[in-house]
Amino acid sequence: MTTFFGIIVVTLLVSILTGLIRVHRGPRPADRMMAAQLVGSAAVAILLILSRAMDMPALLDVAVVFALLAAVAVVGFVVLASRKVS
Amino acid sequence: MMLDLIAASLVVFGTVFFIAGTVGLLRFPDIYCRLHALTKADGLGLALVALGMTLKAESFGEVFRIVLIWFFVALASATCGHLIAAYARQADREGKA
Amino acid sequence: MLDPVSFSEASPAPVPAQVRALQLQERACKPPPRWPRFFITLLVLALIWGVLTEFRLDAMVFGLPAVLAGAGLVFLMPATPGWRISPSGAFRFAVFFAVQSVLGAIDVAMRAFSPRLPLSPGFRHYPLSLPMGAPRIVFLNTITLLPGTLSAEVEADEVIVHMLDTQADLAASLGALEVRVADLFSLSPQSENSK
Repeated sequence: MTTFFGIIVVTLLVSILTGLIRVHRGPRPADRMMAAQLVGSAAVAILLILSRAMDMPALLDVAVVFALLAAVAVVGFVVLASRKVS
Repeated sequence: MMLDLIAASLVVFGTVFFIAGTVGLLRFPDIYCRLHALTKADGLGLALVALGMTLKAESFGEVFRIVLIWFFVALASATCGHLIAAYARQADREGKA
Repeated sequence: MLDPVSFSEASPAPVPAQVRALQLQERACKPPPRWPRFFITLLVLALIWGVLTEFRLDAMVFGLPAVLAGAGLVFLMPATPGWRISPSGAFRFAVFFAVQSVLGAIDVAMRAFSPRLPLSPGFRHYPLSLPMGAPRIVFLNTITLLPGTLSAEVEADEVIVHMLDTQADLAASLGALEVRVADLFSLSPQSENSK
């Protein structure tokens, strides 16, 4: 099971890294923000899996914080970016 | 053993949807289409991984935490998708990329 | 007809749109007392904190003020009318929600993986007929999970929906969702929906 979880975690990490291409390319600020959101939700999935694979329940608390901060980040981005636009 | 198998397949399917989300984010032509990929595919990906991990959880506290995490992310992602789309349309109207 | 008591029983008969708008306005002006809402929020937050900290007493040093402050936000938020949620409607909504979000994700995944990239994206308008407040918010947020649709913006009484395929039947899928949301809040189907 540990090998299986390892493969999954690495796959998700590769998916995150590939998503970073969108951060690099943009072209709009919102494109970059979306890629960051993808990193957030994939990171939450990775933490859920790692907390079981490494038997570290504390990682679930890290995932809770991640889940909450990702939403705050998007709202913050939209508020600040709209202020700049209008 | 059966439970392990179900959990493992849920996690695999979840990962497939995460990959679909990333592929969509890279291949789709504009920001609105990319939002579809992000909100829908990633949302289900996380839901499947979370469901799989609740099957492997060892206490009620862990199950509760996993469900809470899924709930936060699901609630936030639809609203965030709407916010980003509304922001992008506003930027479109004012002629700035 | 405009006596507030008569329509606190969330079961509006088919009425002309104008009267209906008046009713909704009236309903929005009459917020329920906030104390019950405060105590419900307090209970829910305290429960979440309790489970997260395994009900340890020393964690209450942080938990108690946070939970009180969180529930106190009820008094700072604009007052919204309360809605009754029907338990059986909630179950049907949950099933609909689960099935549609799986279909939506499969749809978008197929499009992403397909070499031809089958997309003909565009925007479409759809009139909002659900009442302001919770029903409308649930409706708008669930649009994003349906196959091929994304709620992009709200303008007056219309939602602007982004579609991956503008050939798809928007009215059918959003109509089905409207029925489910009305069922969730035990609102009877309204005649002016069918415009």
